[in-house]
Amino acid sequence: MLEAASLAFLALHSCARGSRHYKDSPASFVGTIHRRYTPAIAAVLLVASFACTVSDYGGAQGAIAWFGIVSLAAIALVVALSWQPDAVMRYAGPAATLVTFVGLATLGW
Amino acid sequence: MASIHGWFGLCTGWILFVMFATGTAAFFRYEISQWMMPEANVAPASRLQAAETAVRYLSRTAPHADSWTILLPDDRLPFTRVFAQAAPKPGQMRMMSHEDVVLDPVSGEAIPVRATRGGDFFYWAHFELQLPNLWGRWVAGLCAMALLGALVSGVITHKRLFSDFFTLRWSKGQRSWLDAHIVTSVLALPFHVVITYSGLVTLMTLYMPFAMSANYVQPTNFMERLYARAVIGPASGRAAPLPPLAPLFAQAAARWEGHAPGRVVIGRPGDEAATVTLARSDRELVTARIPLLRFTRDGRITGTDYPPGAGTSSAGVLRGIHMGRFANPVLRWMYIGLSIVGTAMVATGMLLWVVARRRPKSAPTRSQRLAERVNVAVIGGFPSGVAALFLANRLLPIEMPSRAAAELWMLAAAWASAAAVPFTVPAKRAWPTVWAAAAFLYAAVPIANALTTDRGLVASLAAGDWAFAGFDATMILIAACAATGARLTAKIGAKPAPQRRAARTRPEPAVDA
Repeated sequence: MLEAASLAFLALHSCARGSRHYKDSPASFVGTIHRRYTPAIAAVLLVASFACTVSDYGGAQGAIAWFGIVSLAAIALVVALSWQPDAVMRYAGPAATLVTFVGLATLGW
Repeated sequence: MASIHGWFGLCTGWILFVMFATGTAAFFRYEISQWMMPEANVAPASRLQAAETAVRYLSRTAPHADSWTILLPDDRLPFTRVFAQAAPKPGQMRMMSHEDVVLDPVSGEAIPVRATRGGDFFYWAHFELQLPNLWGRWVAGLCAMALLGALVSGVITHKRLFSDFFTLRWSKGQRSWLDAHIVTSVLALPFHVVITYSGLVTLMTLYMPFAMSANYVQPTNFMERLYARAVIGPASGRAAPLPPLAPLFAQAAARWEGHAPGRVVIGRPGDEAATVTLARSDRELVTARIPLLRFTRDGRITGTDYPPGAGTSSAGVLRGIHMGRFANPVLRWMYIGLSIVGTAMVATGMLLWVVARRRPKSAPTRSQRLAERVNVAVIGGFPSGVAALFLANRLLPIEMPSRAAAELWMLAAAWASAAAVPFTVPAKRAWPTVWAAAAFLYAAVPIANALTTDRGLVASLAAGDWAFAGFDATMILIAACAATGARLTAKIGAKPAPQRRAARTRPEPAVDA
């Protein structure tokens, strides 16, 4: 659950780089990747998030849960961006990456 | 498209707000029922033991009933609930009675719980709206169809869907309400579409009965196939004892990969033609069309439910997704979170309708004033009504006649009182007043619980009673949110009008490109 949510958050965070409203941050995990590849990276992260959710909850429940995870992650990101956009663009990426690895580690991957 | 979106939203928004709010609470229907029946503090028991003790109780108290329905305990509702039903009238469907008895699953004795609708109120009010006959279901269906139309027209109307995808600007008047409406709508759009469409599927036989009427002489036969209901045959008139349940449970577990039944229906108890129907628990399956096994009195399987076709299976899955009974605690909280987002989507839409029509140098029209007042009455008033329902559950005398109905009257009275506020004072003063009232009422709920029962928040935390502790904690959280709402709306209302106009006309700060 934790790793799926953080992967979805990362995917959306990388999409936010494409938005004209927010400044890109090289300190971010996704900030090191060229903007051109952002959609592809986001797609890969979303697929990974889906795979993790299905692995956690099984096929049917996992698929349903994934939509909820992506929606809630998007809302969390938007609220955070509306509050502290620079800090979120700079630190949320590495933080979510760390949470992903912690989540995967707790699952024994 | 913008007109369709606005008018669909305006005409149905207040009802949709109540539907979303009660639907959100209905995801915790069983936990709310537990809290509203604090006397039912029972030790856990296996489902087989609960079924056997319930059969002993019903044999003693309702030996001549047409059927018994036994809802077995599980991790969400630890007590047994039984219903003894008389035969339905010819042509009528066999409906589950609301008159249940709560049993201790270990001893099988009735627990003298207070009369209350419990969490079931939210479940039924969500689509019946407390209206008689089928009126509530029709109104709910029309509102759901309008919401589906509003969702589609809203996506088409919103031209800058992708460029504004991550945009939420605070303290900018109409712009902020629009951003909030878009964020709550677009980011949870899959949930909103699925929950609305699946809600319509849940009541599809009411809205589109034509295929059923054309193909089935008796609508009850169609319902039995669609919903996999227990079929009860005619009585023989010869008395005979019921079979032991343990072998039947073992057969069911062998067929259902070890899963136990969640419901037992015994038809014609005490008769030679008695049948025992076991329904698998709906906690483990996404579909709401749960498998059945029907046994004769001598323990033979006489049939399962009708094999579902593609349409029946799809409808079952959609109903299951809508009700979310399969959801584990994490997924259930996700359902709650997204439902709150849906409620916020409706509320922000209604508020936006009023804000968008304000003009700086002209007085609001009568319709705008009315919409603003009804917004306060519904969005601010309904939560107070719900808090009053919980308070009434704790404060009304246990032995009071028609107590369950009195609880609902308290909800109606509190809601009506809160709804009267915007019609007596200006809206900018009404908002903080109703939010402050809601905060006070919600904060009073855990206090009333601690004073009238031995299952207060501290005692529940100490005992590891997470249903009670979670409920009280949620009440405190809602009270805090309502208090914040009261503080913010009071602050906005206290601002002099010219300053607000200046703030609106100030150019937006440049965003980072």
